[in-house]
Amino acid sequence: MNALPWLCWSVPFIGFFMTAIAGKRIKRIAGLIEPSFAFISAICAILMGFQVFEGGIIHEKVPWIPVLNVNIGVLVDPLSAIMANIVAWIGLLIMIYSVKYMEGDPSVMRFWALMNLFIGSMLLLVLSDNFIQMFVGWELVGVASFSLIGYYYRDEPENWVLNYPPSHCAMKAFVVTKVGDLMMLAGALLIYIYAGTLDFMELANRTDWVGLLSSKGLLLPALLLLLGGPLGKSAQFPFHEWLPEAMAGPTPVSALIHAATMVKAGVYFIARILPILHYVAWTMGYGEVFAFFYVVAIIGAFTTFLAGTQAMVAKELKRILAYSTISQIGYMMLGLGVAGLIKDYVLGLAAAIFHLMSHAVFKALLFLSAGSVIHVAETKNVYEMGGLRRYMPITFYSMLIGALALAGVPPLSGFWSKDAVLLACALSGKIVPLILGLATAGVTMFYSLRMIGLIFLGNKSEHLKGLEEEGHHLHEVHPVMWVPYAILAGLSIAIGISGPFLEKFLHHTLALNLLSQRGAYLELSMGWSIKELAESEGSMMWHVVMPGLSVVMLLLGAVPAYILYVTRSTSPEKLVREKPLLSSLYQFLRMRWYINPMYYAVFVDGLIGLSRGVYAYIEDMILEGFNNKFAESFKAVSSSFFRYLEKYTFEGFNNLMVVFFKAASSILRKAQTGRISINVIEMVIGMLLLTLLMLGFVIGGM
Amino acid sequence: MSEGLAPLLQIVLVPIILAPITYYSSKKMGIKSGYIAFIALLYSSILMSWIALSYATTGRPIIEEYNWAPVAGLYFGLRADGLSIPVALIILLLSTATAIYSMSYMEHKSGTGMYFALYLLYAAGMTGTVLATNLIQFYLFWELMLVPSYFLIAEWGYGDRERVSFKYFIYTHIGALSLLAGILATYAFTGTFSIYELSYKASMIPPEVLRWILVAMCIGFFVKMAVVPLHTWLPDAHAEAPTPISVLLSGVMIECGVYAMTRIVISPFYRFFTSFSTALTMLAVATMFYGGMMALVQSDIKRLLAYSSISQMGYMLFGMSVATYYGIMGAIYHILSHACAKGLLFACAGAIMHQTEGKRDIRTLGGLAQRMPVTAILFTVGVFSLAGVPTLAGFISEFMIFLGGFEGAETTEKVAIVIIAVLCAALTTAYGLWALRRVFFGPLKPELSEVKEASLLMLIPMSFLAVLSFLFGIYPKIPLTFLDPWARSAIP
Repeated sequence: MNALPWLCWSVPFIGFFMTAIAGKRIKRIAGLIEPSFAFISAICAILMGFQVFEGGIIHEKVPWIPVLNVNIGVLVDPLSAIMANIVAWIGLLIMIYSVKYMEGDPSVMRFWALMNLFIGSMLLLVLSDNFIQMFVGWELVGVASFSLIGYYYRDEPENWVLNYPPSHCAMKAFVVTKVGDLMMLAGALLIYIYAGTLDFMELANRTDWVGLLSSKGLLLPALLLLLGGPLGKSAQFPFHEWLPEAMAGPTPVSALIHAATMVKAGVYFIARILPILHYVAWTMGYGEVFAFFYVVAIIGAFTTFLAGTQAMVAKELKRILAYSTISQIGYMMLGLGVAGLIKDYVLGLAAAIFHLMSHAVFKALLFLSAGSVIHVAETKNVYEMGGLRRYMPITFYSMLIGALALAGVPPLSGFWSKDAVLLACALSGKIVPLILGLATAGVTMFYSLRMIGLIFLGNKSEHLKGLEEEGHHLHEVHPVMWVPYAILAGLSIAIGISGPFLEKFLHHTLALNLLSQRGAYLELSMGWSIKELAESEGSMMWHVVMPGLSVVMLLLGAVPAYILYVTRSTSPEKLVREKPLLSSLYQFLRMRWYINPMYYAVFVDGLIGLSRGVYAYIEDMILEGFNNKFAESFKAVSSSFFRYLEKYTFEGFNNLMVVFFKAASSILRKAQTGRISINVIEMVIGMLLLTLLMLGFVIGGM
Repeated sequence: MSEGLAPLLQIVLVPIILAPITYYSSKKMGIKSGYIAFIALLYSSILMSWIALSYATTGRPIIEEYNWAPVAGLYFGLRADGLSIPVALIILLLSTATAIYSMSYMEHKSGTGMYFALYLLYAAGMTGTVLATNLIQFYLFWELMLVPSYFLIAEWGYGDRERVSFKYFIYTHIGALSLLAGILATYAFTGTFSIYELSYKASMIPPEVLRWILVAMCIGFFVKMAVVPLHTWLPDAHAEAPTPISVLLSGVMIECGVYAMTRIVISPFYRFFTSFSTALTMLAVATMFYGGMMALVQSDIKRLLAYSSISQMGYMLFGMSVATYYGIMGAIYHILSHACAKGLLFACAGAIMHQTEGKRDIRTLGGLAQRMPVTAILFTVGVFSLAGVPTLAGFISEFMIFLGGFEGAETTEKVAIVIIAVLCAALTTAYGLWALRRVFFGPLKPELSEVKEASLLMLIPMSFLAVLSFLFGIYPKIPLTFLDPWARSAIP
């Protein structure tokens, strides 16, 4: 039994329980203890990584619910090893940063406990060998994020995000993702019914379930349902609206959600099942799976553009970063989607994972440095900053590197990974996603530069001047805070420099996945890619053209941003005011394409309104009314029975009988006169009658 | 198991015998007479756990039979098997925990002796219902759980309690009479009252009669389970009952309907029952959605929980109506999860009312997590369990219920119905978290600034239920040891 993967996910859980139970007693040394749980996980993760790259897949399991054929297990292949390392190491840096950031918070132990839970759940998620256990981690990630987004549950006005209090944001995040999760659960249950297992390995090795599902026409529905979960967790259209509000929690939480945990879960899950689905589509020939891949690609491409444009006009620093996360995850989804549409799926898979990796690094960097900026400037609004470069040089250069990496400026990390995604997209021959992806490259450059320009360059804002007058001294933050993101900045450069090699390395290692037991297929797939690349002129051409196109897009985005926000020779406000078209576009983007208001109108106010209506009319008026009417009419019927039947008819009959007998007896009484002569006559009449009767009997008898 | 001990009989009789003693002792002991009730129920719980253990090791049902009216072919029988053990055990555990809770709750109220006496009868009635082996005995216990609860609501309830309890009585009693009609009709054709002989005598009933018998019985159970549109007694009764009684009403009493339907309708008449399956599935989905939507718009916290119970009964009905191995097992498992979760939630609501001098309108509450952190955490556990979050019992049961749904869905339309049912859990999450947020989060209302955390007498039973929720969520093996063999044998 290999203890490393088990330790890797369970240590943060131990940290969670220890912190939750010991709480106040270890508060003094919390800064030392709490990051150490993440540290142990990180060490386990890296050792595990070496084992996998040398010795192959680690797969172990013990029974959990035998009745349901569910196990608890760990599956460490290159994909989960890479994910576990990202989660654990980025998590560790964020934990170290939090030591200083959260200093002095009265309920900091709650923060530590939940952060541990968050990291532990995410590690559980990526290391699971079956869907059910992964779903446990998946939902616990949701619970942890709910509790951390709503960390400031008292809803003090300074923690509000626009007009949403933190507790509302937490609820929004959980409910929106829950809808996706339930869809995913339904999809998984459908597969389970036909496969009899949800073990990833077994699903890959015994693909008979595909035929059974397909014969009932349920294969595509099941896969699309399965997609709901990743779209929810990874904040993709149409479930993307929770993420911008998820920044209500403390900044380290946002960093964790955006960089390492939570939103990466969806990408991971699709990457996990991608080889199986690719096999099903290409080798087994189930065409409906292509539709699934195309849906993934188009949703990714659309989301990347949708969120990117919203980032261009956002005013809050963390909100810019939130939109940019949605947009970048869109790239990853795009990469995964097109991976299924090309024969060499590892190309797309590697591109998506590469982008996930570089995004994890630069987004953690951006959030942590944004936290420092917010900490110093005491505002979240980028328009209330400006000129901070002089006071916070380390933060400035780190954040600049992060922003350029995000924008994909060569040779930083984002350039290579985004290029790989777009290349895979081009190879698949899908034009619409490609255009959206390229356009977003320009958009990304624009908002990255805008962000840097507004925060660090230009003149100090009125707000900052006011702060200085109050005696605040603008200064660089404590090393415990800047060291983590300086390391991340270094990593961004390192990934950037080694970009092409790293891409090759990923392409090579990720070929070892769930399908590796189907060895023949693996070779086949690799063979395809080499043959494809050698044969088709087109792909060679794309290899040259794609970076060029990217650079053109970057320039297209950079120039206006440079003019508007760096040299500030033209005021963007004036531009928007003067051009009615621009101003309505600006409004459209500020309103988040009107998707958010529409969701609130339908799913919140609409649902509540409908329920109120049903409550008022059906529950209260009809059903309760029926009860009351029924009781009343029963009473009315009874009382009319009493009045008419009981009183009138039966009593009346009784009375009638009395009257009748009284009358009859008073008549008959007169017969009893007592006179003998009358008695004799009566006797004779009686005897005559009797005789006649007897005669009648005799005659009748004959 | 030794014959002389008669553990099952003790389980039912000890609380009944101790009921008058509790009443009389309260004259001297006051509120402390609650301890007698607690000890009686604890004793029964321990016996039941012992029986559960012995069943788990031997795998044989435990049956006790006594002569009752042999001329009429009646025996007084009690039977503990894979189906009745988990249900009876959760009834006893919840009643025991709530007995402690009641002591804190009834502190300043009058008539505690009578309260605890009725409480014992009520608990015994529910346990007897589950353990009964023949239909007449079953019916008697079925009514025994109605009568004490009627008085408990009418005497110690809130609001318009006379009217509410009357409505409760009339509704469930009409249901019970419909059930009785079904029982007598069954006897007329099969000549037996025994529940266990029914399965092989079922063929003696002509199908056209059997249909009406099942309809009559199902109406009886549906009233108890508060299936829409027969539910209107429930929101009133559960909201206006004294909170410990709400815990039992919502936590285990309405679930007796689920148990009884499984035992008396589905198991013996399985083949015939499946022809109702689709219609009942629709009814279940309607109940789930209707209850959830109504819960969403309630401002009274207990009424909200009451509607949530209706919605949850929809889940159980769903599991039963698909009538598959996983579905029925999931429905019974959901009895356990719901007993823990809803019991916990009602107990939290009671704690809030107790600590805030009777505030129960959500609009007057807010920010209570600052003043009552433990209650806030426990309430969250309850909400998450209802929402089916893993590591809590609700996940396992909902998982099995929906798995059962897909198992039985052989057409695309049926698959669509199951998918709709799965998505209904989002509604559960929404109303649960919204209630949580409005009661516990946000700024603390100034008039609540003096509120204190609930007493230990309340928090201990509440924590016990939370622990049970986790236990059933992390070690589903415990209940499944009983349910799995039963389900395998009962469902062909």
